[in-house]
Amino acid sequence: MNRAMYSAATGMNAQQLNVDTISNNIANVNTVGFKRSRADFKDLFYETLQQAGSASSSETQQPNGIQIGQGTTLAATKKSFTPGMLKNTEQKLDIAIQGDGFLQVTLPSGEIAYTRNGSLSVDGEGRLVTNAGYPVTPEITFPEGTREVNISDTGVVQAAVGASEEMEDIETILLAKFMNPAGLKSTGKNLFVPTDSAGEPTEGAPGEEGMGELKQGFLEVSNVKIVEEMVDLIQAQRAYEINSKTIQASDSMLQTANGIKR
Amino acid sequence: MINGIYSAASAMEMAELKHEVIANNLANANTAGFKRDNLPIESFSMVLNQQLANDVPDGPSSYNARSVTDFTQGFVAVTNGKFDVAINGKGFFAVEDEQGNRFYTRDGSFGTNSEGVLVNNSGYPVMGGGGEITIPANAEGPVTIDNEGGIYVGETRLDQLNVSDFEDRSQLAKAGGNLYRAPEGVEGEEALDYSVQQGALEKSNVNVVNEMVEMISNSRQYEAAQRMIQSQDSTLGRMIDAVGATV
Repeated sequence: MNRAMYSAATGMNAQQLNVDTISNNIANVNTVGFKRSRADFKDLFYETLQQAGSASSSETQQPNGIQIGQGTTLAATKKSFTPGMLKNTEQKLDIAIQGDGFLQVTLPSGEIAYTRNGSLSVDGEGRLVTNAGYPVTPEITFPEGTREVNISDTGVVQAAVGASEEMEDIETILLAKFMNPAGLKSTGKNLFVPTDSAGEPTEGAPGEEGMGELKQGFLEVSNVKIVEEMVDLIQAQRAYEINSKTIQASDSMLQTANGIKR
Repeated sequence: MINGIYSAASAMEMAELKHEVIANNLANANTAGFKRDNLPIESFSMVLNQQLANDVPDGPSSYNARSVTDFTQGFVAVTNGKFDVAINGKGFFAVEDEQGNRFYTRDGSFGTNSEGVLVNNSGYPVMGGGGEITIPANAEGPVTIDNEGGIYVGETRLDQLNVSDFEDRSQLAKAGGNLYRAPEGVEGEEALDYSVQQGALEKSNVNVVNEMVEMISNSRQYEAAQRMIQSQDSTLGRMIDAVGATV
């Protein structure tokens, strides 16, 4: 009986985490470069009360055993790196990546973080920075008097400086990609940091194999699909409810057992 | 009289066990690839007759139950995940832990690890034609998986997902983590009647309505057995009173 209550409790816990994941997805439906997560579940250990194949008589065997499950648990929150839609913003410093690459940024701690959010700006020193002010790596500094900026599909940053009509090459934006991007750790602010599971980053110029080309004047919107999330939310909520009913039923059964002795 | 109380008590015990099985099914209503368990209960007299016929040395047990996993197909939901695969039909994916123990699973929520090896959610490598499957780092073209489980990178055939089946699937024991363990010495045979779908996951085959109905009827049975004990208790009490009064 207690097993039933605990199983149901694990079910409620798991669905709570599922709702947490879904609501974070929905909250980020308008976040540029956001990648949705999905909660995956697995069943917990089984208590084997009787082995399958144990003797039922001197010559026959039980074809099945008795295994009582102990509920469910979260197996993973899997990030899905399917591309989001590209939105035309007509901003010169907005770039979208059409492939698996990530922009590299240097955190104030000196570590490198990775992002799909290409909504960039220029800071007081002329450096290309993210919305949080973290410089893009390798660092790109525009000379004083820059009028016009062009970022090519292969990441070459050009600028027209001063009175000059000619575009001069400043630097090339380099991207990084991972063997297993789903293993990256989200740290908030649209940033990811590598983990052992994600593998070592490989650096390369946009347009190289698998990195993806850059699109100036576009942003990659979140890959969250509201309808999918809503369906998942309904399912999660109902599953939560059902598990609470199991607890209620277990409770009333315990009450019945208590009622044996009057 | 006393025997009746024991029968009723064994009915209550069984109902408790059944309730636990239903609770686990419902807790896993959203677990990919989960297969529901069933606990068919055999009557005491049937078990007794069986055991008497077989001349079992130990005394008859008061009940007999077997948990039977119901392997019917679960709903295949499209997820569009690159390494999400679902089996339609009969068969299991094979994975191996670090000790080389082989497990079978219907949960096709796979991914790659840092070396590009195809793994399940527990990090166990998914078996292909000849062991682990490694997706090349600089894959030219997308990874596609065909209906038979063949894995392609662009146009090149890379490997084949191992999909195996068992003549007698009731031998499989649940190992937790959406995995099944085959008894020692038993290996899965090549599955014949299946199709693999990429970008989809097989949902749990728990039917919530059926489980709820079963839970209600089971708890009522529990209640009925309890009443049986109560009524026998009161009959017993009355008998003791009445017999005692004549003395």
